Amino acid sequence: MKKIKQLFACLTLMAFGLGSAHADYALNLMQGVTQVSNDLYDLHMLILWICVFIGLGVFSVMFYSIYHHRKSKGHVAEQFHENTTVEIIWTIIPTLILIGMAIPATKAMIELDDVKEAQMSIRVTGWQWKWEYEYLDSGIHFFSSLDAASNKARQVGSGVDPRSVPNYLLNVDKPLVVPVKTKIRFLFTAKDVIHSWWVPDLGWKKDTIPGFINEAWTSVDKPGTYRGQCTELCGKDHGFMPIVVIAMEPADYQAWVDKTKADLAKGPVLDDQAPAELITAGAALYEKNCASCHMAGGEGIAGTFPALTKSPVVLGDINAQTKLILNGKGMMPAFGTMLNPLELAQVITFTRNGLGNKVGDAIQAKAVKALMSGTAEPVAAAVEEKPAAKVDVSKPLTLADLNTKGEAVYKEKCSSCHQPDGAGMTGFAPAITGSAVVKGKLDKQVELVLNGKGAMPAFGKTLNAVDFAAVVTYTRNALGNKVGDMLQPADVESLKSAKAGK
Amino acid sequence: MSTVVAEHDHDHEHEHHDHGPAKGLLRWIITTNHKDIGTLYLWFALIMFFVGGAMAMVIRAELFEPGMQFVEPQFFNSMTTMHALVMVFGAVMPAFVGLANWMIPLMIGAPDMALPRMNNMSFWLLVAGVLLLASTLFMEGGAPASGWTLYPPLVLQTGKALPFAVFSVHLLGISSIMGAINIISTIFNMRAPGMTLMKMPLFVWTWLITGFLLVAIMPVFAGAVTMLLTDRFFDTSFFDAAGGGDPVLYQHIFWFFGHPEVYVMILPTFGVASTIIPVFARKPLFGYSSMVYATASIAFLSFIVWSHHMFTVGLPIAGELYFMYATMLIAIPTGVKVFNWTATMWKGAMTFETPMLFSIAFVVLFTMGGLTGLMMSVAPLDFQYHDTYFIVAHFHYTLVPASVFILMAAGYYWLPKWTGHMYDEKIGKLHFWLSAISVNILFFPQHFLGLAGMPRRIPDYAVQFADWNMISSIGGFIFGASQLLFLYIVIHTIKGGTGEKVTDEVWEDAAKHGLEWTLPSPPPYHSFTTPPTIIPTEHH
Amino acid sequence: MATNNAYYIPHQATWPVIGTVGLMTMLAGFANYLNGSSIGSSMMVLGLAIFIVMLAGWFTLQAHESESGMYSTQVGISYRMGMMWFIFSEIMFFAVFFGTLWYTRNLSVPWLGGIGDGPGRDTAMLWPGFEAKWPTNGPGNVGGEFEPMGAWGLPFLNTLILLTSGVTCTWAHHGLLAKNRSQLIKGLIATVALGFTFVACQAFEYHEAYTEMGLTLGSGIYGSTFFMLTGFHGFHVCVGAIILTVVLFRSSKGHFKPENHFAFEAAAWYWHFVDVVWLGLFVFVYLM
Repeated sequence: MKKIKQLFACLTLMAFGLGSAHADYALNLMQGVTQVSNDLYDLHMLILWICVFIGLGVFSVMFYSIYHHRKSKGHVAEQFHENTTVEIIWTIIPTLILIGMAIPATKAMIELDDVKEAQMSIRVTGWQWKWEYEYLDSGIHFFSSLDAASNKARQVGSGVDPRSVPNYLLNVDKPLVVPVKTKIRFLFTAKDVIHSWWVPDLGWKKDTIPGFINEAWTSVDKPGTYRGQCTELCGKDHGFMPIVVIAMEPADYQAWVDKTKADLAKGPVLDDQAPAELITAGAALYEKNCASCHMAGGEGIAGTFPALTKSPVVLGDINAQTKLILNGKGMMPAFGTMLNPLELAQVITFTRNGLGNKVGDAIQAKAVKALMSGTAEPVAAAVEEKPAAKVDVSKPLTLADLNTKGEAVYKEKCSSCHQPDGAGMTGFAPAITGSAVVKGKLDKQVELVLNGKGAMPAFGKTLNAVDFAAVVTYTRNALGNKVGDMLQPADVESLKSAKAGK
Repeated sequence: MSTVVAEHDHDHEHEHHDHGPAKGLLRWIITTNHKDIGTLYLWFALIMFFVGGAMAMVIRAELFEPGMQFVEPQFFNSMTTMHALVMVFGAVMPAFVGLANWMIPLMIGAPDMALPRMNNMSFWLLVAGVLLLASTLFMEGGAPASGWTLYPPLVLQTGKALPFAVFSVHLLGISSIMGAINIISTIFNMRAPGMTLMKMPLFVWTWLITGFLLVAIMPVFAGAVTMLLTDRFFDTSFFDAAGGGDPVLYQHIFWFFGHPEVYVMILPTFGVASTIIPVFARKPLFGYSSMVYATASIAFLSFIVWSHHMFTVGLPIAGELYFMYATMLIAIPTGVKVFNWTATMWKGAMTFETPMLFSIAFVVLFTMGGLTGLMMSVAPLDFQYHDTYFIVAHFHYTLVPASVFILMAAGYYWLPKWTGHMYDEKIGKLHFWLSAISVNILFFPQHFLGLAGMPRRIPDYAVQFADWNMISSIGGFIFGASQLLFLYIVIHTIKGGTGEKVTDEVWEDAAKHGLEWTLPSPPPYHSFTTPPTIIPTEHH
Repeated sequence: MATNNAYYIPHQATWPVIGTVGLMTMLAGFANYLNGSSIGSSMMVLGLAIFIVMLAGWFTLQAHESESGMYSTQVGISYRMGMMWFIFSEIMFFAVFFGTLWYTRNLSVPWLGGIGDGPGRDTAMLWPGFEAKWPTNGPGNVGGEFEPMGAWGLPFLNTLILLTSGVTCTWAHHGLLAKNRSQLIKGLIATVALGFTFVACQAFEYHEAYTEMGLTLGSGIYGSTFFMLTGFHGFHVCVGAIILTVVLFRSSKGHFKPENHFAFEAAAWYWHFVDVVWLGLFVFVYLM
C-alpha cells in the first residue's frame, strides 16, 4: 500500500513537473562540489536549454501543421518541394549553434584533462568487486568494499527491506579520505577487468584499465561525504562496489593520516586465537570477501566458481589451501595483499570448519605469516590428518569393480572441481574428458594424483590404495575416455613406497 | 519520389503460374523467392522481438523495486546482454532485411533479388547464428554476461558460452554480409529501365547505403571476436597488457563496427519514414536529394566518430576533442532529415492512419533521442552521462520509438499490399496510443535516473532511484503487453482482416509514391517479370 | 541495362540449407572442442564434410547452369558485383588485423613503456624496466625469449613467388581471351603450383619459428599479430589455390568462353587480392 501511495505521489509530481521539489530524488545532474563539476553543470544546463529550445521549435511547427493541415479540415495539399534557400538556412543555423557549443565544451575538456601541479596523488585499483586505494605520498593503503548491512540486504530473498538500510548500496567499510581545497591527482588501474570510478559530485568518471594507468584530478571545495559507484560492467557484483569519499578540512585530514599511519605501523596482531574465535571472526570475513563467488553456503556456482563445501582443496592440506588463497589462481585473486595474516587465518579456519566441512583443524596467524614470507615451513596444523586406513591390496580387482568403486570415489572427491561429467571448470580445473594426462602414461597420472599440483590436492595421503586405484582407473575408462588399461591397488602401494624410498 | 509508371500491364502474370511455390513446409526451407524470404525474415524478427522483449521484462521486473527479488546478479547481466544481442541481431536488423527483401524488388521493378540462392542462405545462417547464441542460455556458467559489447577482459571470464557466442557472431556476420551484397547487387543491377539512381524511392537509397555499411563493418566485428577467441584459447595477447596488447584496443575495433552498426538500424528507418509521410501528407517529400545526401553524410560520419563511446577510457586530449567535434557534426545531416519531414507535413492534407501515427511519433521521439545524443557528444559532459541510465534512455529513444515504431508503421503500411486484406484500423490505433504513451513512461524517467547518478547494467540500486524505476517498469510492462496487440493484428489481417477488399493502391494516390502500389494486392509470386518503364513526372 | 526477361531465377535451392547445417555443425563442434567436450572434434569433422559436399554440389550446379547458357549478361553482372563486395568485406577483415598491428606498435606498446600523452604518462610505474620497442612480447615477457622473423630470407622469396603467380594468372587470362586453351591451362598450372609452393614455404617458416626461434602464437603481441596476420593470409592463399585448381580442372574440361568466364575472373580477382594483402604483410609485418 505504501508503495502504491508513493507511486501516485510520484506520478502527480511528474505531471506537475514538481519532482525537483522533493528532496529524496533528483531530476537533474548534480552540481557537485568542485570547480569542474560546477562548470560542467553550467555547460550541461546551457546545452540542455539549447536542445529544449530546438525541440520545442521543431515540434511546434510540426504540431501546428498536424492541427491545421489535415484533410479532415478540408486542407488541400500544396505540392511544393525542394527549396535550396530553406535548405541552406537549416544547414547553416545548426552549424553555428554547434560552433557555439563546441567552444565552452573545448574549454571544459581542457580543464578536465589538466592533471598538472597536483599536491597529492592517490592510486585507485579496481578489483572484482572492491576498490584499492594507495596514497602515494603518505604510504597509506587499504581496500574499500560494500558495507556489511547493504551486503546482507542485497542478497536474493534476504528479507531485509533496502529502505531500512542507511545509504543502501552506497556505503563502504573504509571510505576514501581526502583533504578539501587540495589538488589531488588520481591514478587509475585495475587488477582483473575494466571498472570505472565515478563520484558524480566530483564531476567525472574514469575507466580503470588493467595494465594501464589513467589519470584524473579533483579539488573538493566543501567538506562532506560524497558517494558514487562503479560504472563499467565488471561482472556479477558490478552493482555492489560503491565509492565513498569523505572530504575533510586539511587539519582533520592530517589527524586521520597520522592515526592511520600509527595503526599501520603497529602491524597486525599475530596472537594465537582459540579455534572457536577464529571461526566466528572468519564467518564475517567469509561473507564479505568470499561469498560473492563461492556463495554464502559455500556451494559455489556450477561451471564458474568451485564449491567450498566438500572441496578437496579445503579438505586437503591446510598449507596448500593457504598458499592458494595467498597467491590466487585464475579468477581467484591473491588475498595475500588484501587481508592480514590474522584475517586469513580466521577465514581459512572457517572454511575448514564451516560451510558443511568438518576438517577439525585450524591455522594461526603466525603460520600464515610464515607462509606469506616463505621463510619457514609453517607450524603444523592443530589437528593431525587422519592417515588413510590400511586396506588389503593383495587381491587384484576386475575392471568393472574398479570402475564401479571409482565412480563413487570420483563423485565424492573429484566432481566438485572436475565436474560430474569430467568437463572441468574453465580457468580453474582442467577437463578430465580428453585430458592429455589421463590419456597419457599411467605412471605420470598416478604421480600427479599422488602428489597434487597447483590447486589439485595430493591424494596420496587421503585415499587408500583401493580407492586410489579405482578412481584412477575410472577416469581412464569413463567420462568419455577409453584408454583401456587399469591400475591395481598393489601397484599403488609399490609406487608409494618407491616414492618414500627416494 | 516522384515517378509514375507507364506501359505496364498485369497480363503477363498467368504465363508464370508454373513458377509457384513448392508445397508444404519445404516451400519455406528451400525457397529462393524474395517475398517468401522477406516473410521468413519478418516472422523471425517478430518472434525474436518477443523473445528479446521477454528478457526486457525480466530486467524491468527485477528493477521494479530496490533489493534483489527474482534473479541472481549474474543472470541479470546475462539478460541485459542477451536482450541487446537478440534485439539488435535477431529483431531489428532482420526486420529491415525482411522489408528490403519484400519491397526493394517491388520498388525498383525487378523480378526478384539479384542472387536468390544466396538470399536463402542469408536467412538460414541468421537462424543458425541466433540458435547458437540462444543455446548459451542453457550452458554451464550461463549466457554471456558482459554486455552486448563483449568487452575483454570481462568477456573472457564467460563460461562455456564464449566460443558459442563468438561463432554465433561469425554466422550472423556472414548472414548479414551475404544479405547486404545481395541488396547492393539488386539495387545496382536490377532496376527497371528509366529508374535512375536519383529516382529510386528513399527506402531503396537508405538500404543501398546501409548495405555498404554492413559489408564494411561485419568483418570488423568478426575480426574482433576472433581475437577474443584466440586470447582465451590460443594464448594470444591482443587485449592483455602483459603481452603488449590493450583491452581498450578491443573497444576501438568494436565501436568502429558498433557505431555504423547503430546506423544500420536507423538509416532504413529514415527510409521508411520518408516513404510513409509523403503518402499521408499527400505531398511529395520536401527535399529528396538533400535526404539522399544527408543519409550518405551520416553513413560517412559514422566511420570516423567511434571513440565517442569511449570518452572515459583515457584517450589523449587530442582524441577527446577530435571525436567530440566529429560527433557534433552528425547533428547537421540529422537535423536536415528532421526539418525535411516537418516541411513535408507542412501544408499537406494529412490523414492519420496507423502508419502515419507511428511515423509522426517516430519523428518526435527520434528527435528527442537525437537531442540527448547531441548532449552526450560534448565530451566533458559525457564524463557525467557515460554509462548511466541517461545513455540507456538515449539509445532506447533512438531504437524503440524510432526503429521499432517505424517497423510497426511499415507493417501497417504494407500489410494490405502483402496480404490483400485490410487490418483493423481501430485496434491499430489502440496499439499505437498504448505504445506511444507507455514507451514514454518507460524511457523518459530514465533520463532523470541517469542524471541523478544511477549507473547502467546494475541489478539493484540505491533507494533514491526507487520511484522512477517503478514508473519505468510499469511503462515497460504496459509497452510489452501492448505489443501482443500487434501480433493479433498481423494474424487477423493475414486471415482476412476486416474483410474489406483492398485495391492495388490501398492508400489514396499511393501509386504516385511507389511502384509497389501498381501491382495487385497481394502481388504475384514473381513481381515484375517484364520490367515497368519509368517516365519522369512534371516534378523532375 | 539489359532487360529483365532473361534474368535466371532458380525456383528452389537445397544447397544453401545444407551448407548452413554444415557450417553450424562445424562451428558448434569447434566450440565444443574448445570447451573440452569429447564430441567436439567429430562434430567438427562431420560439419566440415557436409560443408565441403555443399560447396562441391553448389558449384557443380552453377558450372553446369553457366555452361548451358542460362546466365544472361545481367546475371553475370550480379555475380561480379557479389564477388567484388565479398572481396571488399575480406579487405575489411584484414584491415582489423593491420589496424591492430598499427595500434599496438604506435600506441599501446609505447604507453606501456611510459611514452606519450594519455595513458603513457604514468603507465610505466606498473611495468618497471619495460622499454617500449618493437618487436616485443610485452612487459610480462609473455611466451619467453624469441627471435623475430627477418624479411630477407624466405619471406622475400615468398614475395617473389606470389608476385610471379599473379603474372602467370594474368597470362592464363590472356590465353583464355585469345582462345589459346593451352596457354590458359599452362598459366593456371603454374599459378596453382606457385601458390602451393608459397604455402609450403610458409609452413616451413612456421616450423622454424616454433622449433628454432621460440616464436609462437603465444609470444606476446608480436607473436599474436605475426601469426594472426600471416596465418589468415596463408589460409586465404590455400583457399585461392584450391579455387584456381577447380578452375584449372574446369578449363581442362573445356569450360569458359572469352565472353563468359565469371568463375575464372572471380578466382583471378581473389588471387590478386591475396597477392596485395601479402605485399602489405611483407612491408608492415616483416620489413618495418
